[in-house]
Amino acid sequence: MIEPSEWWFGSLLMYFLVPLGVGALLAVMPWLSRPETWFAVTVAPGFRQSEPGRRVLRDYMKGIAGIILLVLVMQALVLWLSDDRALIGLAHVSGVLFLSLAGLVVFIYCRRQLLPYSQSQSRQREVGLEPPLTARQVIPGPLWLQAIPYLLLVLPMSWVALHFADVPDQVVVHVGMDSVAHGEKSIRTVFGGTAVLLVSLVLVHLVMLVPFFMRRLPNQARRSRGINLILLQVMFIMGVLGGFLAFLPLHGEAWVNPPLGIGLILGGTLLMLFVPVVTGWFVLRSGEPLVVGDRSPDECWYLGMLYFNPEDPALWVEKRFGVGYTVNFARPTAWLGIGALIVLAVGILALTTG
Amino acid sequence: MKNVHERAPQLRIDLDSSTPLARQIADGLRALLVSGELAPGDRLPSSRRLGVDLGVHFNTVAQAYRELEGEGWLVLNRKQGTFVAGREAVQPQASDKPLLLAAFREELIRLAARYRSQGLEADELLAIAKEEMNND
Repeated sequence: MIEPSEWWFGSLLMYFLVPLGVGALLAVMPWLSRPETWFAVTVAPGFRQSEPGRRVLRDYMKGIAGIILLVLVMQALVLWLSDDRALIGLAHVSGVLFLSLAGLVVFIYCRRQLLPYSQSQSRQREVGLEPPLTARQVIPGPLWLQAIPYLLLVLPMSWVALHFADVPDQVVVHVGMDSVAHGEKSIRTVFGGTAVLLVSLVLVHLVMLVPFFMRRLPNQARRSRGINLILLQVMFIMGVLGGFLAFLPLHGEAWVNPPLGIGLILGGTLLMLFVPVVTGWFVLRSGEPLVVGDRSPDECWYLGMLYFNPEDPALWVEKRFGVGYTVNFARPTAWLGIGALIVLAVGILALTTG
Repeated sequence: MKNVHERAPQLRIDLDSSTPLARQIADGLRALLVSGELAPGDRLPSSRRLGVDLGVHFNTVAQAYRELEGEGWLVLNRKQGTFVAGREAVQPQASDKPLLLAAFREELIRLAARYRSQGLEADELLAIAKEEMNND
């Protein structure tokens, strides 16, 4: 067993907090869906309160609680029996991975229980011939508000660039479970991480434009604005976190070690996970349920997550659970987009790892 | 803020109907044009946009748009979009009128038969027809 030290206090905290956080996200997942769906299945109004609806929820909660307990016990055992930090790190990563995968299996099991109650989508289609959505309708706040997350990231990067000579030869690149927190000073090590965050920021920002291309359903403008509000919050958290990370090469381990560093990194990560969940909760509840469903039949949602419907011309559809959008994988454009993202990811990887 | 959905003209189609989708879209739009809910100068969604909203192929919508363009209701401009045309009231030639009326009668008989076979009374259908004609 490893003796706890100041550094390990933070790592141990993450060791148990991360699985608990992921478990909490899995536990609230069923409620992060539009009122007319339950476990990604279109159901009748009030179905959630019915006996079958509650029974499935009970099964789901039992499953998730069991998995969380299993992972925590497994991690505690490894920590107690071993002093090999690499093994402990592996247990941590595999525990979280197992938690996510097992949670998904429980979700799919519950969805299957509900499929017999699926309400067929209405074959009557009614659309309003209104003018196209405007930016004011779906994007919250003025333009300068959207620029702030970029400034939060770019200004510290610029400051570090101006003081590049002051950056020590050994810089904090990555802080792992093994406490190794050093890398050779170079443009890549100093700016690589923040550059990745900058690209991610642009990608999150681009998602704000999706409502202009997706199917318009009743209350679409309000719902899209709500989703964009969540994205804006995520951008702000990314900006703050990125700004902090940008300064790391200058200030080194003093900023990483507890309580300031761990507090900021943990706090920022937890905020990034839970702020969208809390806001999404309210967004999904705003407005009337879609009585006729969302025009994406249940049988075209594989595992409740992947939408494949060759008869639907829509490229973008709203996700069945969680907040945001996904693509219709039956459209060739979807695969082109995925290909472009893979090329982008591989490109960034090549640039940052040489 | 006024909700745009409350005042926007509504177009309805039925995917299970035996009437072709392009015909349903053209009929629905024509009804909105005749009633004045769509006025000259109004811009219609692009065929791609309307196709996505309705869940039908954009060519189906384009076919309906072309049909209405042929009748003089719409102006299709590749760059600027689709607009309602300032269409002058059509005065059929005297020789065409009996043919048009006979076609209308035939269509009315078929329509009434379809709904009477589902249990609706002639009086009920007549009341709706009068109401709709008076609305115009």
